[in-house]
Amino acid sequence: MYQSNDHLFSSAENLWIFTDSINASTTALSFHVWNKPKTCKGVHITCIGAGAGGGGGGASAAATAGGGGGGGGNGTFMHAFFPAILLPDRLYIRVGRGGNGGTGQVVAGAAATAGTAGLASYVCSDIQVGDAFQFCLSNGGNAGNAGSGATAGTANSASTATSSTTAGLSNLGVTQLGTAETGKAGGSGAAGSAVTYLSSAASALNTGGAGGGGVNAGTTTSAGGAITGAGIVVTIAGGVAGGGAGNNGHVRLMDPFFNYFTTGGSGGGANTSNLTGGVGGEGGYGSGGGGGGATNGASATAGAGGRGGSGIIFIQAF
Amino acid sequence: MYNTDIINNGVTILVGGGGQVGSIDQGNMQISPTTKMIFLFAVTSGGGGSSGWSDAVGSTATPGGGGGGSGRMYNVLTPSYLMPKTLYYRLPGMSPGGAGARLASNAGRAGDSTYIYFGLSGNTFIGLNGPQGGTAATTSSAGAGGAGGTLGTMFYQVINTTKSGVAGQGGNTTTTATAADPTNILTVQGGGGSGITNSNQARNGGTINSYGSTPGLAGQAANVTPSSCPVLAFIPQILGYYTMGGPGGGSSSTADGGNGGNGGIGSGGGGGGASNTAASNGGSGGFGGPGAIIMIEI
Repeated sequence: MYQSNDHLFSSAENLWIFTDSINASTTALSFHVWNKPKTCKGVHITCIGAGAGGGGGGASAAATAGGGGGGGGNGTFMHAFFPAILLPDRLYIRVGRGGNGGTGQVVAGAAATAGTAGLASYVCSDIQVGDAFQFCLSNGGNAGNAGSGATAGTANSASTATSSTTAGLSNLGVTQLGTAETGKAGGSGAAGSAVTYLSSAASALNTGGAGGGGVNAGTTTSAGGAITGAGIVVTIAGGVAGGGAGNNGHVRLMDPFFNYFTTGGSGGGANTSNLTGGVGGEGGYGSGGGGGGATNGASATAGAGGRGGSGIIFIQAF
Repeated sequence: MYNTDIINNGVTILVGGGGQVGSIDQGNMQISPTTKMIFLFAVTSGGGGSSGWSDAVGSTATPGGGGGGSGRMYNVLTPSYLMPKTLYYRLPGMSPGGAGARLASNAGRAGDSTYIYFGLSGNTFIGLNGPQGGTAATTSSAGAGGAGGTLGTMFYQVINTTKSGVAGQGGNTTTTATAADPTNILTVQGGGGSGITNSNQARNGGTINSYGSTPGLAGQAANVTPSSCPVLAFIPQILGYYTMGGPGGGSSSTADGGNGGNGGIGSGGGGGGASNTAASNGGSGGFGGPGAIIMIEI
């Protein structure tokens, strides 16, 4: 069914979206200001932490198996409703920055590195963070694990959900505090693990990143993990075997058919014979980056992990 | 101050007792037929602080009273189609603290329950149990803080947030009174009253620590009679709403012990300070703050 969003952001002008470019890497962690509109009676906030970067893939000597990097985790989410009278006139907003992808392993050189964790997103009463200043807090995703030689990066742990203690001012309203999911494991001589949209412990808002593909003890390469769709969310293929780059995650923002969702990046495809592994795809807002693809060969370099997406915060007043 | 505009528009604020101690208000709230959603905030009264011990003999270690526990709070957001035209409530006023006495200590009164009903004596939509008051001190032991409030009956299980009460701080005997550390800004436990050392060293009462943007409250100074502390704040530049527990009373080696501060809405009163001067009383415990209901029609 077609849905018009005119009521969201035209004449009423009652919706604010705070975010950054999806793959911002150097943005200063400054605060934005939101002023409560005069005469508003209620304020609804959806706060999403940034996604983590995927881990770099492993690289091995020729005719030796290589393992892909693990995907980055997604940020947690929090919905909150506050009566306007219980909020201060001004809120301070800080959007989490997505984590960098890890670098791929170099045979007889540097080891692969894990991705960087995503940073938390905040809605605060003052220009500082801390339990007692936070109306909303959504943690960033945990970093994707690196591959190492034949060993693939394992699935990481899911980011910790906010509580009414860590978002101490959330007690002034009613809230829904959500968990994140793990980034998925890379493949060792096999395809990277896929992410399934709307799988258990995942919200419809964002997902983790898929794992990077592996190479066997020969020259057979595997694809990176896919982001498997559900419903009208289509599947994002993993990077193809032979060093294909992972695909960036979906982003739908005020789409008339599906108002909002994002997904993680798919995993990079594995390569062989001294050719570089595929890089992981970048995550959408709040979603994790894909893991880097593995490779083998005497002078091979594995693929880097994809970058996690920036956090995002919606505020609607009515 | 935008909130000034909002208060006159679909917002009902009820504070129990009208400033009276130990009273219970009963009444009703009418819901406008144009209301689509209702936000309700309810909190019990806080527990009163206990009074400090007084000892007739100087140079005797003498304990202070304990702070009252903080109340239970509950927020709910419900569609108006689940609500009747009228909601009835039971709302407690302030809880007395233990009265200061000589050669004795009195416990603070427990906080009382807050209810919102469908019908005059009908089903309970929100039921919250009050916290305990500070227990009485003895010749050698300080009053313990009252336990926090608990959750009672719920209705419909619509979207909600609730927070347990927190026990008040115990009074102390010979060391500096323990500060109360708020865990939220809606209900805060009372601070402990201070004692006196056996060398007649009087102490300040327990403070209420700051919490984020909210300022803390210093414990009452030793050897002075305290002024009352704020009970409610709507300060939109800092926070829309917060309350504080009452700080503890300071002890005195020259006169009556200091009284504990009164708690804000749903918050515990401070414990009274000790005294070890002949013919002097221990400080009275502070009042537990009144219960409150805020209804916002959207």
